[in-house]
Amino acid sequence: MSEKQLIEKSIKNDPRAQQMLYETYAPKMFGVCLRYVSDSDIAKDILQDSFISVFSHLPTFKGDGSFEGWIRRIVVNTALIHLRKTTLFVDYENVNQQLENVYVNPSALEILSAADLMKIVDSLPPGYRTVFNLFAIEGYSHQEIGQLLNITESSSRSQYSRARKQLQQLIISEYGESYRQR
Amino acid sequence: MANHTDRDNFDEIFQQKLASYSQHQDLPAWSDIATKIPKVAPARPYFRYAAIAASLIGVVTFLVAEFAKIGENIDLPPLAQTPKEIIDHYKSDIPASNPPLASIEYLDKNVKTLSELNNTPKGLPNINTTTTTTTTEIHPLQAVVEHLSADNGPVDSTDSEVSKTQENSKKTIKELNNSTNITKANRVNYVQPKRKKLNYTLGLLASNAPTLASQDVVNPVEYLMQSSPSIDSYEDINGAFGQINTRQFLTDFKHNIPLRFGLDFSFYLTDRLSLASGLTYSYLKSDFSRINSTFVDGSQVLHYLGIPIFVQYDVVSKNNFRLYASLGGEFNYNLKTKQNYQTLSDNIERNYVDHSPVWGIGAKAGVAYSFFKGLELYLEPEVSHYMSNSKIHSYWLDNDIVFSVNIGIRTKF
Repeated sequence: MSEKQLIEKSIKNDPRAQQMLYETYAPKMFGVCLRYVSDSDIAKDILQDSFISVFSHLPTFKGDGSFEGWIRRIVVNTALIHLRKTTLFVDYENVNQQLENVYVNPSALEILSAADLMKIVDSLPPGYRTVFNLFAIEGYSHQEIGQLLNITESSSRSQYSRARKQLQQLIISEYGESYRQR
Repeated sequence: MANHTDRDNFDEIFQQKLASYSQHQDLPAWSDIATKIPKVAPARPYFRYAAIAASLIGVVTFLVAEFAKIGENIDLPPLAQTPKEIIDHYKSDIPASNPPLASIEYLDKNVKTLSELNNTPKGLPNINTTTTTTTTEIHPLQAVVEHLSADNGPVDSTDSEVSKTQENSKKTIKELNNSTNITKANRVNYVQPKRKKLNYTLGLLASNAPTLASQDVVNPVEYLMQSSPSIDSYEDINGAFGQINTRQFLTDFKHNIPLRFGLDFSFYLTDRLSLASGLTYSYLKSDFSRINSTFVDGSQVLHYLGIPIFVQYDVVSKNNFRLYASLGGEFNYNLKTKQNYQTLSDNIERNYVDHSPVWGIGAKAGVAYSFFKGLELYLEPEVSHYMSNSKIHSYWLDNDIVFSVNIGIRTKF
């Protein structure tokens, strides 16, 4: 059954088609949830809420863009709604010690698996992690991130910058000096 | 020292590896989600069906009413005053293929007075006269003509009897008019008195349209920023969150059924052609939600004052029914726009006037039924197309073709 047929049948409340849609996209979307929240149970709740929203809004999907992209936006939005309730997206510049400028060798970084990178991202504070995910992975601009998280654009920039520094430090401390850019 | 490209590569590697990262373990069970999914009923254009059905019912009712009138309620000619006039009038109505004439004696013998003809069953073309032995059919008109044509009238008749007979004849003729299948064409010319021409109509109208499924609208946020100098006076949901960026927001709009009330006025230029205008108030409500942005829910209410101008042509105007068609346009001015939306942190309400008018062109087909002294009820299915420079999304502007039904009451004067 094609994706279009799955969508059409799901709109008509066909449970089998809905289950197939869920099983197709749930693993990838669960990965998205885990990038934003480290707690697996909370990630499960976010995924559940997201798919309920997906099926509720399915008749509004016109097929203009990628269906996966459409679901992903809903999942990210649902994760952000959760994070807004639980996370204070403040700029940590004044509360954290000054981070050292270290740079990771990109070619060395290629060796790391997605699971390794997930683990490193998961080590970031929630605010940094969210900004980094939105900017580096989802492709949002700092202006958009500012509005999404109700912070200033400059705060988004600085949090992203600190997230990168911290990530690079984490990689070097976890995987050794060989990852450092010389 | 890392250069700028290294930094981009750093992000790129994370994006490549994590964007499609899947986690197959610990997935929530489908059964947990399945029970919570609301059953969404696919939108059905009930109003459209209802409007089409109402239009069909109107047309069928009109046709049935018209056909039912054939053969009855034929306008009576002025009642003849003398036997001679009666004879002259009805001679032409006697079919050529009539049965042989009955003699006046025979008629007198079997139909004692003409008043007996009054008992002729309605709808029967011929009168059955019964003798003691046989039954003979004669045409009732022939009987009357023969009877009245006799120079001396019935044997032994007196003046008072003749007068009485004439009175009976008048009654009989009236009855015959109703009981025989005389066609209108065979009648003497009967000119109806001219009615006073009614040149104006004034009425009240209400309009409705079918509800539609919600629509996703990609809001290119850039164009709003181009009008940033006036953003304070014109700031819609895009402007509030608009930003110069290549990313586009996807907004899911659910437009409610638009409502319209108003006055209509028309002036007849000729017997059939009229110019219709009026004043309307329209109420358009929409709910929206952004899929890839921070605010989740919002709604907007638009109030418009409209002036329609239509050229109307009466296609059929018969008895109490009138079928007409109209072509024209309308101008709608925004009286007020109210938008409420909720961001993750705030509830925002904005009130402003959108200075871009909404123009509409449309065609209508109307059925009007006059039920009481110049008062008529009407039903007008209408198709329209709306245009505007407005950046506000509305039922009118998000649909290429808008189908609506106007109902109302108007008076002619």
